[in-house]
Amino acid sequence: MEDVKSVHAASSLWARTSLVRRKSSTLLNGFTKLLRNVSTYNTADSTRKRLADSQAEDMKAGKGLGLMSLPLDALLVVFSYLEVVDVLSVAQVCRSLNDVSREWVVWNNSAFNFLYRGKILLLDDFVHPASLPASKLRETIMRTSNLDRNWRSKSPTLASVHSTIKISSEIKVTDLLCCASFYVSDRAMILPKTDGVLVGFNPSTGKIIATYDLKQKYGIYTLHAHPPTHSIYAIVAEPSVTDLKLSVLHIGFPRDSGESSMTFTPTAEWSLPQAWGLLTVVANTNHRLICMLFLNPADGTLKLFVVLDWETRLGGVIDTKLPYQSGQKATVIRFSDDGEELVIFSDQLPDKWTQLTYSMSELRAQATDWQTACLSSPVNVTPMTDTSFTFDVCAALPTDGMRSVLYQYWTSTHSWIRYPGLPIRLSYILLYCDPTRRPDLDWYIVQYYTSQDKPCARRRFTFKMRDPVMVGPYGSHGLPVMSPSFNHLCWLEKVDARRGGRRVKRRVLRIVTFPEDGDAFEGEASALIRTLKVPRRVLDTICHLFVEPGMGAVLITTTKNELHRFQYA
Amino acid sequence: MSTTEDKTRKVKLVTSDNEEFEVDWEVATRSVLIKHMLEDIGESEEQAIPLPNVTANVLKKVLEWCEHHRKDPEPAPESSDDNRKRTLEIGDWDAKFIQVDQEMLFEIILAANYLDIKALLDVGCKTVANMIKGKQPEEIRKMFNIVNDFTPEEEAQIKKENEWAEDR
Repeated sequence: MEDVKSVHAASSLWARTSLVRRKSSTLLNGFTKLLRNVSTYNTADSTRKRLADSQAEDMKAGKGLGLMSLPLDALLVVFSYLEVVDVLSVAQVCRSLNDVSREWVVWNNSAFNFLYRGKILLLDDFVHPASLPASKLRETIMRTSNLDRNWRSKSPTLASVHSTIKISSEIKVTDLLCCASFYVSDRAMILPKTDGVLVGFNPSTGKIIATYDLKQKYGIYTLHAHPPTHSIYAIVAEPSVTDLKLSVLHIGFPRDSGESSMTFTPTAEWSLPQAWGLLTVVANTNHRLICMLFLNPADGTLKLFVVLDWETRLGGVIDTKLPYQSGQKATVIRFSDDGEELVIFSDQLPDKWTQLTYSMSELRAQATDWQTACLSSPVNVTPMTDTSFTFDVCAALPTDGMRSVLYQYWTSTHSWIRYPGLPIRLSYILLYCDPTRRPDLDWYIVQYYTSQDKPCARRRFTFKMRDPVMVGPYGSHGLPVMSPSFNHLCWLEKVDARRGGRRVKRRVLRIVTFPEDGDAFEGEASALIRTLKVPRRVLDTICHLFVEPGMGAVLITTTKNELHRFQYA
Repeated sequence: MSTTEDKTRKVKLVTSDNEEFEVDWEVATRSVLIKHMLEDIGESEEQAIPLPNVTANVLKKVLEWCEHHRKDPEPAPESSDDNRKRTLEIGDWDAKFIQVDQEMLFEIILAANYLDIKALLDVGCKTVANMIKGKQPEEIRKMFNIVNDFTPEEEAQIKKENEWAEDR
């Protein structure tokens, strides 16, 4: 405190006006911008006035300085540090605090915090939380918080009576592809069938609202949301002996809340000259980018075929020089959100991670007519040095002598919702099995989150899926009845039980909540696995499972062509 | 605006109870309000800056904080949205600094709000949030001496509306 000198002096009455001007123009750092953004829904003025009135009364009554003496701006900062459950307690303290607790800023801040922790908000139809009025946003956050607490509790309970819907007899449930549904809203889902037909389905009524025949039964296809146009793009790639057919399909949804329908519009279709081993396809719908990962069988390396804009004819091939061993590695590709970078992650068991980042502008400079581009003549693009690296990760799989082979993997994007400062996150779920053992016994799940440019934690989350119920045919062994989502995975497990004195196998529905993003989770995975309450008569006839965090529900189709919806929030 | 002259420059602050404090420019300009006022008067002026909303005992405490944090990097102007990862953790020095009675705690928050010292405001508000955390409404009332001004009907209604996330 040496520099602080306290001396008495006559007060200078300098520039009182200047002081007042500054104060009103700077407001409070943290919330100026937020408050400005919400003028339409902002009730802050009335809250501010009521707060000031009650403070004036306190003053008259001779009350000392306390929590209720703080101006609205400062109270909002306090609220920004509270968990939802604490906000709700404070709301019950007195009228003034109740007013503050209903402010839009409080709930928009909670929405951000929830997303920051990698949670899924209970929102449908591409609604951005910041576009909601305070009361609706509050309800959304409260439901989300409720769901989260429920799914993390020991035995998640149903929030309401479950509903059963007869599925239109036009589709047979057993013809649906498992693990490939795409939930849009309460009124629209896309269910792919094994014969290559996409079914637009209303999960609230059980009705088919549209169908579209992709005519590509064995192709790789991916579905990508495009919120600006309230639609989805399906990117379909089907290799054959002679060529590779690539098509882009636009799937639109009407915005009104009535009985919805869907539109399927083929946007582009091309026939590419070569058909090497196509491994995976990704797209960035905002910038109309497509990237396909190929294996060059001649030298066992990986190549990337990039379509720079599906409306033009520019593209190019990048030779990653990364080696590939079937079944041993998970290699995933992704575009950065701004479409300026392409990242390839290669996951080498047990503990190496290689990542290469390519600049789209460099590729653009050398791009040629991509439809005639040749996979054997790659462009000269080198990985960006500052974001390309190899590092060690903690062992992915238990090493109990099992010969693990990657069987299938899923990539889910956290959310299309963007906030300034909110990292963009993906979740990778990899399913391994040991083909030398009985396939219905030993399955391993490996899950990790990545940010825009690197894995969020070195330790990956892994657990053994014991004795799952299988569905088939899918590959040679079928596939466990399961539903992967960004932060949860649901599956059907067989456990030993006794029925009438006899030993039988009973089915239980398990859900695992992945450790929150970036957590170095060191506990037992079993602590995160719970059992969902579902009646036995449903469990015994399950065909497919869809865990839909955006709905707060688990949907189940049964062999009786029924759709059951179990609501958990 | 932070020229080399500024580093050695002294700033005079006058509190509401007419006490004058002379502090280094670097310390005083932790306050965005004071910084802007200094910019307004220009460098030649030697006038004292009046702080009619702050008393001497509070300003002394605030300046103690500013002195300790004089070398902290300034937050980027747009960082308000980018750093919203809300953690309740408070640094060791700050935690000790903020161990004051409730009246002083709220005085510090009010002063930090008025003087526009975001980091200090955060320390104060986090402390209040920590006091609230995990408490029931009645406990919060008791802790902060707040009168329950709901009518019984209102209270029942409010309780119902805020029950969503409670344990079932």
